[in-house]
Amino acid sequence: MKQSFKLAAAMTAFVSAGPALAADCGTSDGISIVELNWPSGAFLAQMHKIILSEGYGCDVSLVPGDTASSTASMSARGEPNINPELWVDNVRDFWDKVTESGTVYEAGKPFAQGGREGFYIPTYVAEANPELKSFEDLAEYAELFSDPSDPSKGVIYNCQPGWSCEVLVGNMYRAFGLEEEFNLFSPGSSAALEATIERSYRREQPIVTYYWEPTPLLGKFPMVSLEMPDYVEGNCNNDENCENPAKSGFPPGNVITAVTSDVKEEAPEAAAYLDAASIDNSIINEVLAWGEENNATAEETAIHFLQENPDVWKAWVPDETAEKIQSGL
Amino acid sequence: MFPDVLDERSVRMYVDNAADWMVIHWGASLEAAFQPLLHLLIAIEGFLLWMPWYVIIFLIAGLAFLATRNWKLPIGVSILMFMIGAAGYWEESNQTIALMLASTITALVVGVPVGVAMALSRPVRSIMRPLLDVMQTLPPFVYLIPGVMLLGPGKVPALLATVIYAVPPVIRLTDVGIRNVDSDVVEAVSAYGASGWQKLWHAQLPLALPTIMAGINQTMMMALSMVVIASMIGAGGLGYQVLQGIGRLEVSRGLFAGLAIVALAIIFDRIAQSYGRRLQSQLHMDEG
Repeated sequence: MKQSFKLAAAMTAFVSAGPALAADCGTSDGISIVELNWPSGAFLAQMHKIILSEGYGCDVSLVPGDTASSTASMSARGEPNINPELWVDNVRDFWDKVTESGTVYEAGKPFAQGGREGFYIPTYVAEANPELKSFEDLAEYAELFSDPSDPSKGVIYNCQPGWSCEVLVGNMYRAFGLEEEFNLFSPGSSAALEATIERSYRREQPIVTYYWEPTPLLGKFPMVSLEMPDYVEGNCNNDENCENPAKSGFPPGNVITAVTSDVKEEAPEAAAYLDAASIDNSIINEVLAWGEENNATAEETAIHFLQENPDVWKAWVPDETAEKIQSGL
Repeated sequence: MFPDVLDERSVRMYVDNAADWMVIHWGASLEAAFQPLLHLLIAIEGFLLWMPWYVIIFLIAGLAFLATRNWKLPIGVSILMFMIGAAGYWEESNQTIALMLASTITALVVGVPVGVAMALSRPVRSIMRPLLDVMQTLPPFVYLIPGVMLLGPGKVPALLATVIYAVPPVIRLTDVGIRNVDSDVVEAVSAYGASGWQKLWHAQLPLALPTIMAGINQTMMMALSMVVIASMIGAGGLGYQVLQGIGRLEVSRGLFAGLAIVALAIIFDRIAQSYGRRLQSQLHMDEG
């Protein structure tokens, strides 16, 4: 493995020495960032774009994408260079393979407190049902969350197909013995799940759903996460064929900035910034909710963040670079 | 840069607020209004899943035999169905067939009368033509997500989206079929004193049937091509397996489920085509 890494390093060094027209920050053919199709991912992509192009003079381009396609492309073709918000556990096996081959590495953590997953109910449901506190309590509340296509049971909305949270939630649903009273429904995509939550909110109807933070949805529609036990190490809840699912909470959400190795080699200064960039969850939620309320684009949201929170991002870059970025805003 | 002639942001906000208003005030009644569709789909799905697998294969092979009166198609169809089952997609396939059948039935109930109206009335035709173009070109996601907001996720919005996408061929071909009925025949029928209804029911519709059948065939194919998109709002079935394959980067899962969709398409396309041909040859026999 070490051998192949050296080889890759030698090759990229050779390639980068070749072209005469190198962008100022060092990379031979510019830096491409995945513009993820959800708000926090798009926001982070735009923020990196502004900082890398204004502060480091990189030639930055944005490529629309999602977790699966961008991870596959990053490992196979070394492009795009940066995924600003990768939920590692959602592509665990693949990520292990990719890091082993050395083409992609973990730079920093965009969310200081990591990602949080859980089962959420709207605050108006929590207030109306003070006894409903934990995920396990749900068994008593099947009627409240009744399933429109099977009224004899309640319904829990699962996360989108193919993400590892889908398997995780399926096993938790079995482990906590909710199969009798509840159906587990896959909304099919994160957009449909979001629309479902919004619909319940608009009509003040009860809903219990898997969701995750930081997201503007939770800034816009306040929801309460149901209590879960602590994460139990060594359970098999993330395995589809898990025989004895454990009564465990969600594992701590490992969200990282994934970067292709050539960035570190060719543009070490930019790479140092990517390692350092990390924002408090509370600030992210606030910024995203601002964007949502004002119908702002991801780019406007990023500029808003940079203008309002200079002390946060100035800590990630040298003073000189910070000045360049500030004057570019 | 294009000049700022319009404050598009406030227009969009206005549209968004109108959508919210509809969700709040019409959500419940719309959901109730589409209950019959949900029951139709659940009934078809329940029936298909309740039947033992060999009975389903026998039924489909029987349909194929009735359409062709020869053994080649039934055998081919049975082998394809068996392979879908062997690949582990039996339940998912039946869910997909149920969605396809329910949307085809709905498309027929809506599409044939609209097609007839278009054939008989020029104003209706001039209104419907651009509308059909919109239905066939508007990206489904544009109305899928608002559909979920109005109706909740799952089978009902999936069925409606499929119908919106798949109904145009039935409408267009019913229209064309009726207008292409030999004007001599229509005149002759009128000369014998047939009323408008009798003319339609006994001359125009039967003579247009092969063309309408081609429309039904296309509608079924388009309904099948919507299954992956329908799964993105919780319709389940084979499309869901494709989505899982994509999400997990498991090429095999996506590919096999995709091939199962292709197999279903071939099965229903061949059966419908054979029926179309039978109708056509019967017509010519009558003429002879």
